[in-house]
Amino acid sequence: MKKIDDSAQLLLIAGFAVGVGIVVITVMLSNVIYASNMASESSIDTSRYDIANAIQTTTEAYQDAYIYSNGTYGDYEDYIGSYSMKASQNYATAGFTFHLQNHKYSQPYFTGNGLAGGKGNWTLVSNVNTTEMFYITPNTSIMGNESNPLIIEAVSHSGSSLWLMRMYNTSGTINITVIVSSSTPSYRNVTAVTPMEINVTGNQINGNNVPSFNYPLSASQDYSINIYNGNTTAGMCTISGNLTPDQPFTLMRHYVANPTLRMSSGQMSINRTVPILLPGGIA
Amino acid sequence: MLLKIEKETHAQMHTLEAIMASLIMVAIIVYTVQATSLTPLTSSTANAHIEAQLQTMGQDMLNALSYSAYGHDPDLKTDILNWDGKQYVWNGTAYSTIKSPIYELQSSSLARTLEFIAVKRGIAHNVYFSWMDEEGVTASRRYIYNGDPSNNAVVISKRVQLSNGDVGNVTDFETRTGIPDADNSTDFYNIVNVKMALWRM
Repeated sequence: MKKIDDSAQLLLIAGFAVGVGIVVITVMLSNVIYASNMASESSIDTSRYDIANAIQTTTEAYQDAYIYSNGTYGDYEDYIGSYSMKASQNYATAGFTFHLQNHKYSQPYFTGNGLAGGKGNWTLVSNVNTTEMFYITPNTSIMGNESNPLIIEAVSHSGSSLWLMRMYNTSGTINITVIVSSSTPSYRNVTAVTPMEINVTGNQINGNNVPSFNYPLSASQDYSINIYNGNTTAGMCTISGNLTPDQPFTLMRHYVANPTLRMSSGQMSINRTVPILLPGGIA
Repeated sequence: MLLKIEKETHAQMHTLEAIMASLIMVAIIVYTVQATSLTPLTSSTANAHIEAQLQTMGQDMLNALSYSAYGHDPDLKTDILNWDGKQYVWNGTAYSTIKSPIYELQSSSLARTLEFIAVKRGIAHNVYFSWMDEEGVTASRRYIYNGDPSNNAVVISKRVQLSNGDVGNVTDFETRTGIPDADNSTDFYNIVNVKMALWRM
């Protein structure tokens, strides 16, 4: 009888052990599934896409506002006001507050983002096949000196210089040097006036014919237009032509706006200042 | 001799018990794993991976269509401007209207992208255009509609800013699409929210 009791106790203990084992395994499995789901759900946070989208639509709105206002600042501000109000209503339905401030624009520097502190050495446009129009209007009162001249250079894919223009201000005289490939430099000395409009493709300064700048309107190869020391000189720039493969382009840098965009939700809040070149690239 | 037979019986019992215990454990584990298995249509926190994949895929599609180089209009904006206000459905070979199946959606970058990416992967999709009128009242219309989304569907959205210059003939555009001019006093037209719902078939 005693031996039968021992066997029953052993079976009972074995049953308990099996039960505890099952519970442990189930809990562990459940935790693994829970943890993996938590990690993947974190990537579903879409606020970063909303912010990027808001920056893009705001940039387009500023550029359109400038284009359609025809230089009338009041119309420009009204456009931005309408856009800002409608964007606020739109983002409110997605759980965001949206606010724009500082709409004013100013003359840009020849930097990547148009601000004085922007990148001075950068590429204006790449893969240029032909250039139809190229105007540079430097502000001669905000211009680099001989040791920090503004340089605009057309460079082939292989890195060789096809055309280079260097300009700087020396005591009220604007010195312009043009170098085509490795030929002898040609010089122009112009009395500083503002605005000073240089028609590079039309070989004119302020509407008056000057000796050719020899700009490669249609080089035998694609090229990029690079700018160096852009942070020393302010001014406007317009260029149009065709890219490879046969895609027309127009870049216009008349002014730069630097609005601050603020977006907030229950989980995050972000302030972002966005330099916007006006009227930017237009078709 | 009798003692030896009794010990053998105990050993057999223990062996049998061990076998039974391991069987029960294996059965429970199999049951547990089966109970939490993932299928594309499993509507629970367990299919969050699939939802995240669809979300990323949809965002990539809309981001690519929103890109424009050197001032050209993004493809997404062009699709809105070219929209004739009709609702399209995928009929197996093309996007066509329900009323007139031979009338197919033309020159739509969004439709072309969905055909190459979503249709080939067996991902069902709807696209809606929504906007607000001057009073701030929201309205929405279907651009592509393939049925009611499942519980696992994800929605990706992208806002597009339109000006009067983009739209051209304002009256004609509003009549055609139903998207109104949100401010008649300026050249700002409206903001259109492109919403794309994706789900596994």
